[in-house]
Amino acid sequence: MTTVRKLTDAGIVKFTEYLKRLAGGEIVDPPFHLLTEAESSEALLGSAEVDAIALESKLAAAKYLQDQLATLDKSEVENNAGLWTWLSLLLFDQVCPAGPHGQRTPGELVRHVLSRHVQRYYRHLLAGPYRLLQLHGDRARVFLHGPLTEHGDFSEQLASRMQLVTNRSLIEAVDRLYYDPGSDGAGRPKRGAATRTRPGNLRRLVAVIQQLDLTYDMYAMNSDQILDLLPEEFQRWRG
Amino acid sequence: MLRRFNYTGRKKIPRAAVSVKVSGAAIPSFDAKFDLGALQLPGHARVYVEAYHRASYMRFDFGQVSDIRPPKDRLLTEIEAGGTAQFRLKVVDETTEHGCVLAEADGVTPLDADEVAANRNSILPVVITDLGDQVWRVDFISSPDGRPVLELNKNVEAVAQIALGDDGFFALVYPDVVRQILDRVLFVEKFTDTDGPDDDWRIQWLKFSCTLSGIMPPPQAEGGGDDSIEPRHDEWIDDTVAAFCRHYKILERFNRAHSAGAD
Repeated sequence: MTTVRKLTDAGIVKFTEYLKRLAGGEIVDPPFHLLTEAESSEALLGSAEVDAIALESKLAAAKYLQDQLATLDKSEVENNAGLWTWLSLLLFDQVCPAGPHGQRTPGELVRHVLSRHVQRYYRHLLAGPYRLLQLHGDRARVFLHGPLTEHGDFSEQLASRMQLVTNRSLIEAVDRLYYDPGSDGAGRPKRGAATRTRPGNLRRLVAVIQQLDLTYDMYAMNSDQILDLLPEEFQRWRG
Repeated sequence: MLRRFNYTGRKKIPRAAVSVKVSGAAIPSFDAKFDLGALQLPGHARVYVEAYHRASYMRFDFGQVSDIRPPKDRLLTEIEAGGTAQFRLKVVDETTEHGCVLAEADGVTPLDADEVAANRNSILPVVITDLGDQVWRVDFISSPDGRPVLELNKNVEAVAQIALGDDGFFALVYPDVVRQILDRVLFVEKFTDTDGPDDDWRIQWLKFSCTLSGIMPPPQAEGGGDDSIEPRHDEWIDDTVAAFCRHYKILERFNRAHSAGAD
């Protein structure tokens, strides 16, 4: 087990430089030394430990981090860019695995370096799932299906919109519409839920909810009331 | 951006009609004052104040339009620590099956005791927060509408007083604040209109600029590509910052701050 630390500003800069080198096509080993060096990292106020264990899904990662970080004060965790960027580096082989020839594709910087911007926060591959699980518990399962390396359409469409993602009844309605628990217990989002051409797809839901939000007090509704307001095109997903 | 239509005629509550003050350190609480008189809302409609910061959210029932009763418990227990909550005032008609929103004000920035003094000029809300090793910065991303906020580091002793009354701070900081904001308006927002809603922060800043001696509205786009426009906006911003410095006697303030015997 490794004691959790946080990257300093200098550490974040060095990690960012590394990510830019990867994005430029270079094959370079992760700078794991930043995790412990005094100039690039520092201790947290509390104490927690993590291990670079295999995390097979976003849900598994969120649950693992929720358990491991439970000893820390919330204020030390939620918006701590140094902490989440440190965790990204520790788990870099999982959030940005090397390909057969050693190449890595980091994608957007905010997938690994936590952004202050509320609309980009959820793109962080560890902080996003963690926060969704904290907010919605099991109802976050539609967001947390799939491998850790995928941000996912549900997160992109809903989690980046604060007025939607903070509405518990709405997230429950989304779960009821688009999540298939599966007869074998291996649940997953319903096929086609994020397909733009399917009537009543996720993007349509977001557009309809944003329109309804101009008229109705959405925060005061339960999930039944929200589902009742949706037009006919969503009927097929309610089965 | 998807266009949305206000079919039901929901009214906009002017920002000037709403003020929220936040107090307390460990778990802050808030007081909200608002004047809904001019909106002609039905007395039975319910009034809610919602607090939010990033992914945290709380809702408080303030009674009816005709009988405002702030709840006794206004502690922001569920709002994320380390940031400044924003507030939404909502008036809802609950006599229908699904409550209809009759009026709303969103993105209301609260003031704490120090900030009340620092926020006399509401064109630039001031928030005192933890900025690490930075003394100040202009934040454009915390408000839903991108309104600039001057953030001051809470770890600087008496930072609100310094921001208000220290000539050295004024001389070095505010001209750059003005420049950053005008850069944002013209180059990021690509906005040049001075006509429009009074609560649009971009219009507020362009109108403020035009109150400075010798400053006309920014030049408008003229047929050609962006390349032909941006240098003119650079010049306009330079002129405006220079006019700001003349108006507020920035050089005199700076010299005063650094003269022999200054505190």
